[in-house]
Amino acid sequence: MNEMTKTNTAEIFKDGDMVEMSYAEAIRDALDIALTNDERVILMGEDIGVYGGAFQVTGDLVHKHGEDRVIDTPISELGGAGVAVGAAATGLRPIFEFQFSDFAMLAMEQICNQAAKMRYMLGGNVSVPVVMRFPAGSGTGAAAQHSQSLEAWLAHVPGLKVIQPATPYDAKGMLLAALEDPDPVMIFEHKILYKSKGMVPKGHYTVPIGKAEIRREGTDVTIVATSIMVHKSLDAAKQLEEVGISAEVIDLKTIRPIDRETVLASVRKTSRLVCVYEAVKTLGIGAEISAMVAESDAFDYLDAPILRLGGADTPIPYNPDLEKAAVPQIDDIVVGVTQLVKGER
Amino acid sequence: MPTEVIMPKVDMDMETGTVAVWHLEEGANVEKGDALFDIETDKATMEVEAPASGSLHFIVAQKDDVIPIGGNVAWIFSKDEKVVAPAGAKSAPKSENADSAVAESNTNSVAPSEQSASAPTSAPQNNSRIRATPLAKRIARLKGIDLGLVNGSGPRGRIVKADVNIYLSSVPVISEVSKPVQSSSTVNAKSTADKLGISYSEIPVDRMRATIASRLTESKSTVPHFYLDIDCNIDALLKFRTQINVALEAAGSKKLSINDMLIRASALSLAAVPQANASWAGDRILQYDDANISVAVAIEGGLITPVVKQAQLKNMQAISAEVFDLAGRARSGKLSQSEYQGGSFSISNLGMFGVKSFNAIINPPESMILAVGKATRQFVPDENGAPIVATILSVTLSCDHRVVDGALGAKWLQHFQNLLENPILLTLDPA
Repeated sequence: MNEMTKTNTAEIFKDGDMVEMSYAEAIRDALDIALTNDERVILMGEDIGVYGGAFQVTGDLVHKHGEDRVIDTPISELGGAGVAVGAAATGLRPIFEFQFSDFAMLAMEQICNQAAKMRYMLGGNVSVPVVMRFPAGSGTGAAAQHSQSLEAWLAHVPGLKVIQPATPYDAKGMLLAALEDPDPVMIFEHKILYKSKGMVPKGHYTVPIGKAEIRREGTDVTIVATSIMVHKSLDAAKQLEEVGISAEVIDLKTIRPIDRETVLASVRKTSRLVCVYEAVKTLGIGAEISAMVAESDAFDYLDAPILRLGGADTPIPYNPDLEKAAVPQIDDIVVGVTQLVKGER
Repeated sequence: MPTEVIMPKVDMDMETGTVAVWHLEEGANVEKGDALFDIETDKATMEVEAPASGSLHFIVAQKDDVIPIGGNVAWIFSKDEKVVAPAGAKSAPKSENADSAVAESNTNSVAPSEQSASAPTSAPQNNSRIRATPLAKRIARLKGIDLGLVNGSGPRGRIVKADVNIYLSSVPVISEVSKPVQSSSTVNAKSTADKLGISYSEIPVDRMRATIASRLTESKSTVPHFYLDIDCNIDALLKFRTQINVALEAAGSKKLSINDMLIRASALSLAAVPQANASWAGDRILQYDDANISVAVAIEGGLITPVVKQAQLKNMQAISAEVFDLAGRARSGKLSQSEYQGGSFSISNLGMFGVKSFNAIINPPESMILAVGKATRQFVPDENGAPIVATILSVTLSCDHRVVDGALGAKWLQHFQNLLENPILLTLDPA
């Protein structure tokens, strides 16, 4: 994944200003910077203090910034999220970590009814600048209740912003951007990505929310991917190149609001669209992207049916082979794209 | 889900098919493999079999309807299936027609400059049931192409951008340069006749006529033709034929025609001069292993060229029997596609009409065609300069100069002439 650090935004940094770190370390770095620079910032979540977080993202931040600012919450997602939303509404900049994104369902009232609607219902007099982090996705053998990708649930709610950084660079930059956003920002972090490495700028920088990035340019097909599927799509694109298929890979980064123009411009260029996402295919982000293209002028540029590659309509299985089979893999992308480009679909 | 019956692609360059006759009626029970209907392509009539068993409903393509490849023709419902109109049956074609009409008028009003004056008249009348991607449709709209003329390479005949581009590149000259000329000349014929009050009747152009028109226009305007004439003294050949036919007749066999012998002579000449048995393939030349000889046969409404395959391996009797069979079936429209494709050389004989000689148009992708006229009795000087009467057959070889240069064509003709004038050589196998 190192090659991906040379992104459009990364080019403004000189090599000496960059350092290699993992996705989890990049988030910790962002949290550290935020805690250091802004006294309104607090971290909240289950076991994020001395234990360092279920995925060791917060690490030793509690020792550096103290228990007043890195706060272990009781095992009540609704309660913890409620406190975070209230704190945000009254002037703090809380960053709330869910142990697993699956537990977001316990806090839906606070996220969807309170955080998302408060600005609207109070005539703009109050904003809720809360940031929530959701370790998400399958691949860890954690079975059906700890492996879901629920980002589309939250992306359905006006008032929320929902992002899925795919690289350490974006994980840090988008978290810092989320803190500057006056409204609630939901960050879905794929658990498998936590250990992936990449070059990350030292110090403070932001990566804009709502802006997708073309990770690889191509001419035959546009692959719109999110989170870990960006990496799988890039690997697939390499294989596709060997058989003469030039795939453009878009890292969507933000699923609400969607960067319409980047996607549409790419589809107008390549005339083919494949959406790759780990969440259940039905009613997922791929459906939204597909419909968006079909409703736009880019429709007239489609030279093949749209293809969605998403998770199977099943809970994530515990069996490791079935777990893999339930979400798109590199081979699925290679086969799907090949069929599409060769006119077999 | 009922099984769709679609217009199949049975011919390489088939774009549409015409329903010639239905063998079954609406509601009939069918078994998979039953003959459903006949289709008429450019050059042949074919039977289409039922793709599934059940009952036949929603026949949307009636006799004489022209259906694009992959277009729906009817549906077959399995026994336990409720018979309800599938998408595309009954109401659908109408609404799609309306849609395309709307789309057309939109195009006209929004971007009149993009439509040439002649485009709307040829515009997508038949597009209602054509499967094409949005991009293919868009390009067709901008370029004023009738998608009914484009061959779809996608699943079930879906037309994609590449197909439109192939179509565009195959008719670049026609669409951009000569089309206006062509259409203006057709317009002129009609407008001139109308202006001068010349009476006429209009004859609709069928598929075969359209194919002949487009193929030969393409050949004559893109293939650099040149022509070589040679006279052959066929007295010996006639005598030889008489001898053979006496024997054949005595044995109760079919007699040989001069044409059978000309095919044999052509095959042996192609084997002897293989460089002439070739096709221009853009960036290379394909030199064929076999002499596959197309024999022009006039049929009702046009002509067709069944092919005697591997003619160099066949003796005159075998050639004679094969030509008899092919020509007979050509006249009754029963040739299959493989029987009139794949020729490497053509012979056209108009001698029976009293034509002395003529220049034939090459039948692409072949590189040569031999035009055979009528044999005539002529005075020719003998070796002492005294006049003797000889039977002279004039033949004209048309050559594609990209493949066959003058000397090569001449060498082939010389070989051919030598075989006719020394007919015993026709009995030898090719070297």
